Amino acid sequence: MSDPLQWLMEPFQFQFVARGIGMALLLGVAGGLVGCILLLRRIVLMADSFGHSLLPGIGLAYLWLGPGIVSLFTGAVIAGLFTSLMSGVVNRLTRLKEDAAFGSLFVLCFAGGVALMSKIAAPMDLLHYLFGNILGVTAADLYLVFTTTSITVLAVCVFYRALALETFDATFHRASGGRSFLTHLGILVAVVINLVAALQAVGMVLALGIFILPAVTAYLWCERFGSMLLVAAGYGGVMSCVGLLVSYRLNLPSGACMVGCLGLGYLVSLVLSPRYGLLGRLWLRRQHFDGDEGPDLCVRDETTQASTRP
Amino acid sequence: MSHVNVRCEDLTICYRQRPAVHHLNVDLPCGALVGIVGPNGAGKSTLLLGVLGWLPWTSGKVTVDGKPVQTCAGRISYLAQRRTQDQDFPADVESVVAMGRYARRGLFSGFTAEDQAIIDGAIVEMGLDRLRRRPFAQLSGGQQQRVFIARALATGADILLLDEPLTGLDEPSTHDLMNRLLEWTRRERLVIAVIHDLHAVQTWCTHTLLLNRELIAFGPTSEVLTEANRNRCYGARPT
Repeated sequence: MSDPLQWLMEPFQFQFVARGIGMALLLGVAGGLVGCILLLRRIVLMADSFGHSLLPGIGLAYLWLGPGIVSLFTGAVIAGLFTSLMSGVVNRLTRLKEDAAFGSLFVLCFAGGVALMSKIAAPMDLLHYLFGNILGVTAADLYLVFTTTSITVLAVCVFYRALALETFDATFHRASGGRSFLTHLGILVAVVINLVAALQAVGMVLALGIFILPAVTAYLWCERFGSMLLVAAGYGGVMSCVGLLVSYRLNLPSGACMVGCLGLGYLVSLVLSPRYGLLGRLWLRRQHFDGDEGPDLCVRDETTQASTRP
Repeated sequence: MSHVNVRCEDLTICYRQRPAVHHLNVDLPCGALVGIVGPNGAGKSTLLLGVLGWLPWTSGKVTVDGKPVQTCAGRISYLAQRRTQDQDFPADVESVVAMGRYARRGLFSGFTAEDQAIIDGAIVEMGLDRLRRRPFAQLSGGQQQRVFIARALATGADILLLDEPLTGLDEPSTHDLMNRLLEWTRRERLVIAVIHDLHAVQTWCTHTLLLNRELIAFGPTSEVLTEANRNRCYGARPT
């Protein structure tokens, strides 16, 4: 460890590590972007249930189309879209709300998937699906993640305004002529393709961490939607790579290290974020009880017109 | 009043496959601040959604200056009840008001000087100039409501549909908001608001529409909010 740069660069001489780092970077960027939208739309746990519902799609695709990455990806995407469509139908036609419809459907799908997986001799065993292995990814996996991340980044750039309106006020989006339903569907598709892409790397259980942790961290610091997206994407990409390097150096599971590193920044932000962190809030409360002016959280209305009746 | 702005002719609106507002005939004139008043379940919010064309009609039509309402999307802006918006969304006041121009500019086009002038005008009109850089989440309920109305003004609409805009506002905020809306309607525009507070309707609305699944009365507030009309409207509870 005489030369720190050499120490840092040494893992990159192995192709599997270089691929893993590329994968982590791409997943972190896309996860951060999608996570922000999930967080602001308050459908984070719905995304989690998506992950569970993909299993039967993967199993059936393996049976019917073979073991190729494209066929497994297609099967998973179809399963995810089927789940979202069915929960939408149940929500519209019965008394159940969307979260209940989703919750019921995903456990059913997962149970079916587990049964299916036990009956087929798939090379990808269940533990791999649950926890992933980013250092075992192939070039084809990397191309797939590159494609999904490119689609996600491009879609966020192109539909930025629609996403801002839809996440903030879907009713106004619709009232101003926007395609609210299509935007919502687009968000679900983005969730599904990025979840499937992340399964290979971190597995179903930890995939949500790549989505949600950069988003909540950025949410604690940013005051604007655009800056939140940028911070989440940047933080997600960088910290995922850091996590992978930590995993290589300490010989720990890669998915856990990636999510752990992302979580570290979140915990620090939770305490130190000047306006929304615990210390910031305590300081503001103290200022309030001391009768000091301080930057008030709820702005006093100096602009209200004098109350004159017509 | 120069001419009719919004006309409902024999309008029957369905909510959950059942008619909720029956055979409504009413002319809402421009320059008016119309308060829609009625008991719970009377079809007040349904009427707004029906005018927007979001709920199906089983009979009748809605026209804006003689044209079908479906062709007048840019002229109408709708503000739903406050619980439908994310109160903690990361945006400052100016960004939220600027959202009103998104529909005009599409996906890519940047804002022109005219757009910026409209945004600035809406901000000033709603008295938000000193708050334009404030994070939206830090505003009080009354201020947030003014931001939403500024956003509606920024769309360039001349008809505002507001669903319970006074919910959760204290008296000074109510006075402030209604004063500004009244000021806005004086420039040949129309505000149609669902309001539960009869006192506020009496004080601020130029016109009142009493509704209980069917039209009870419509006209200048002083003529409509009579004891007899109120009894007709609230005395017979909707079944």
